[in-house]
Amino acid sequence: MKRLGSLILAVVLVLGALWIRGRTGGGLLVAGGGLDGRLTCSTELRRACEALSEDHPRLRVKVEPAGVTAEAIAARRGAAPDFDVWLTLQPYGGVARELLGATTDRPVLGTASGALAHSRIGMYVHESRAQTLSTHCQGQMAWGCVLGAISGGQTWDNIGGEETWGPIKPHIDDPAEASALLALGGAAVGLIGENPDGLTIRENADFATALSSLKRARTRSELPASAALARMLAVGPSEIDIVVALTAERDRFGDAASKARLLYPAPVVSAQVVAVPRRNAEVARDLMDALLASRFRETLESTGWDVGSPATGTQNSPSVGAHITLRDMWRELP
Amino acid sequence: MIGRPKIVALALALLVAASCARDSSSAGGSGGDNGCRPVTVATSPEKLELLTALASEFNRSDAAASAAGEECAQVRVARKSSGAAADLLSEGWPENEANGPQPVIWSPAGSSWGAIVNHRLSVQGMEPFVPADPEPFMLTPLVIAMPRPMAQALGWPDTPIGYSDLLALARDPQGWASKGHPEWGQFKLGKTNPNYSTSALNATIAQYYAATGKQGDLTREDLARPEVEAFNRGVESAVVHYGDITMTFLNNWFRNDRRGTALTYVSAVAVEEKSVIDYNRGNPDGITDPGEEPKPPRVPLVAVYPKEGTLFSDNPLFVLEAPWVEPDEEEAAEKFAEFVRRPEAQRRTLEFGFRPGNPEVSTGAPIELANGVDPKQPQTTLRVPDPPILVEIIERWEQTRRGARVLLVIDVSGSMGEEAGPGQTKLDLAKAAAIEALEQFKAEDEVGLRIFSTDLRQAEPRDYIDLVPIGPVGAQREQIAAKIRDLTPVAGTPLYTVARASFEDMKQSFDPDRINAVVLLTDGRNEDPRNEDVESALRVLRAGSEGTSAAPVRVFTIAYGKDADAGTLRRLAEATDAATYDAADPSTIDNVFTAVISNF
Repeated sequence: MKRLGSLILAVVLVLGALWIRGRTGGGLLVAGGGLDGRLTCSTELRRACEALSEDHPRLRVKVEPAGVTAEAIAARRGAAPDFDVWLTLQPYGGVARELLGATTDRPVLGTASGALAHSRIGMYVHESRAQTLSTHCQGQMAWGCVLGAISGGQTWDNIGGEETWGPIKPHIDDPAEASALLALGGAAVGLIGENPDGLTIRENADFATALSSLKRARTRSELPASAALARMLAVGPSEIDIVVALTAERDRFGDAASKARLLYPAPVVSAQVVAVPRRNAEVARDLMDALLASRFRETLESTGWDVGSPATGTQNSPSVGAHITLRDMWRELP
Repeated sequence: MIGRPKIVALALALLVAASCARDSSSAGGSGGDNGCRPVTVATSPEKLELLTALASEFNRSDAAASAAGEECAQVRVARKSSGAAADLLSEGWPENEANGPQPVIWSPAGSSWGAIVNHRLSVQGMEPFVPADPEPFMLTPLVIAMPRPMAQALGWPDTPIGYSDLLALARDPQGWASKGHPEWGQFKLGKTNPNYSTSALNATIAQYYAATGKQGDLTREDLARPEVEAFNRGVESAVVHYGDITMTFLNNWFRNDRRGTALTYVSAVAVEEKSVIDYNRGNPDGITDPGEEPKPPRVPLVAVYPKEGTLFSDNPLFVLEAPWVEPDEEEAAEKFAEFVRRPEAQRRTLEFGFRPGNPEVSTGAPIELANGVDPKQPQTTLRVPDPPILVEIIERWEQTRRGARVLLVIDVSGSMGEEAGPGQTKLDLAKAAAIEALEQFKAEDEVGLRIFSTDLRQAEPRDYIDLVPIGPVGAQREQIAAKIRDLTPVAGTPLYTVARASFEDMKQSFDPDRINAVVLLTDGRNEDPRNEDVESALRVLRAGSEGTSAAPVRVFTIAYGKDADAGTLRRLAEATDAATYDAADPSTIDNVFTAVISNF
């Protein structure tokens, strides 16, 4: 009997070893497979969503610009969207509802979660050129001064820099990306005043000129902001010297981030992460609940998002309607 | 009998063994052809050594053990110049011995080549398969390398220097005398061929920007402006010759430096920044041969970052979405691309004189002033034009490039009649390649055809015959091709006589507005009892190629077949600051001819 017991123990140990091997090789971290369903993430949440995808193999994750998702929802005219939960940044949750409202009365989106995390919109300026921009704006980093400086083919020597630095080369995403739309919202408030509505924005000629100049001046616009920032930190300021992006991006680069100074043009605006479920779908509710109950906030935090302190500058963003106007104006501008 | 403690011990051993099994299987995937899924990387030459070392590390790593689905992967690195690979990819990469296997990863020196391939595929109605906007593996800016005294004569390092300054110097009839240095002669520019070389492509783009005064958004109208064309013709007129790789210039420059003639060979060469570091370390081609002890040059080079702006070679690793790439191969390729972006791999790029592509690794030594380069430069980068503009720039270069005057000298000795493939002699293959190469000349180029073998005729010169005198190739392309088609093998190889005579004939009829050159193809050694004096031939070639007032005729040699006297052919080429080409495998003669003609 003793020998039989020993043999059984040996077999159990061997099977245990093989099980351990299978687990470490397969990469499953959550017993039972974890989250399941279809999750659409906005581009700024790529790293957090990819981490989720690695931990939850049954979760089907798609990453795309928030504006693309919002338009796809509207284009379906009341048909269910192709996700169970949409992880996005405000104001695009609201933008999607507005666009949908224009095409159908049928609500297809459930109630959005509260803010899961937030991150301020900043301007990464290459260290070698940050002081020049700051001095030019006399230390008051207002959107008005910044836009005046970086737009329309300005050269660095026009604002106190060296001739060899050439033109100022800013990067800002297309406002189909939520963070870029938020930045434009901040710029509109900075140039026009608090809470401008869509009509006020559209009728302000100075703002239209500034927006048009910014669109023309931006460089490497085909790159997303995260790649543009990586490029500036790797290549130096010769190709891109200013990148408008979330503070959360800074985390990716460790010490290398010190090659850029992060400035916050006033008024400061923050991006807030929300989860928007598909309406009246059990799987969507389950995924939403599981997501909120999971360690997703920790994942967000580990990818640079702020989950602790209250968001700053949320009051500085204009209305959803104003954001839609900004998005439309950007498209219409040459 | 096995006691209980022994059974438990055995079980524990099995437990350990089973746990370790994963590691040993990954090690098993590291060797040679061991059943792992091969993943071919086609890379431009300058990073062959680095990528090969990283591939070897990857193949031994856990990452490779299950990189291709359930299979292990084995990354193999093959050398292919950026332009040649772009041509092959545009044609679907016909697989044969000369081209090598179809790549899963393509790493040209610059991502602009990817845009060119996609554009060419689109024009042919095919789906583009080179991904857009890959992350850079490593970076190096295009610079103008100049000997330090010459750069100083132009005001370096205090005065920014650009293409416009070089053009002014090239156009100045006084040449370097206008800068107080008549002993340096005329300004001479070294530049490779933008059809093949990334540094040349970038330099040509930069020239167009300098000519237009723009830093982005080049248009077709810009390219067509007469003053832009004149600017480019002016710059090109100073080119000593072109070529497929910058190493030719750097090696020749270094050899001249040893002889004390570095300042008269060439004044400036458009190269990547890393080449300046290599040169100043005494390793001009960036390749350390076994036993080689690099010695720094007497006159170091400095990197001039053009004031109009420059472009970076970003060395992307394109994981191709080509029809021949299987999903498992793609997966393995992505893992390899990830592997080489790790900080520990990226630090190795510095050893090779490149700037890391991953911003987590800071640029440091050897990218420092002491090596002739400036880590704070460049300050302005030019935008890579859209693909149709890029393609048009290359097409326009064909017209604005310096004209050529070339004597093709082909060996028709008896050994050329040896079989080199099924039903084909060496001469058959060479004839086909030479006829095809004629297409690379522009109509205004002047080309002639000479054949050689011992005792071709009774009267002097007995050992060679000019079948077609030098003349505009546009008017006599078919005549030259017909004469080549009719060639047949004859007798021995009067190598020294024909090399010297061809050089002297070209010098006598030298045209200062063109690149003057001899292309000499032979498969043998000198077999001429009437002339066995190679040193005399070399003396003549060298004496005619040195000095500020030299009328340089470059002798490019092709060592064809395994019996060719490659050593002597190298010496003949080097005596005229040209290059020799290796076609030991006759099946490569097509590609070799293409490379040779890229010098014009």
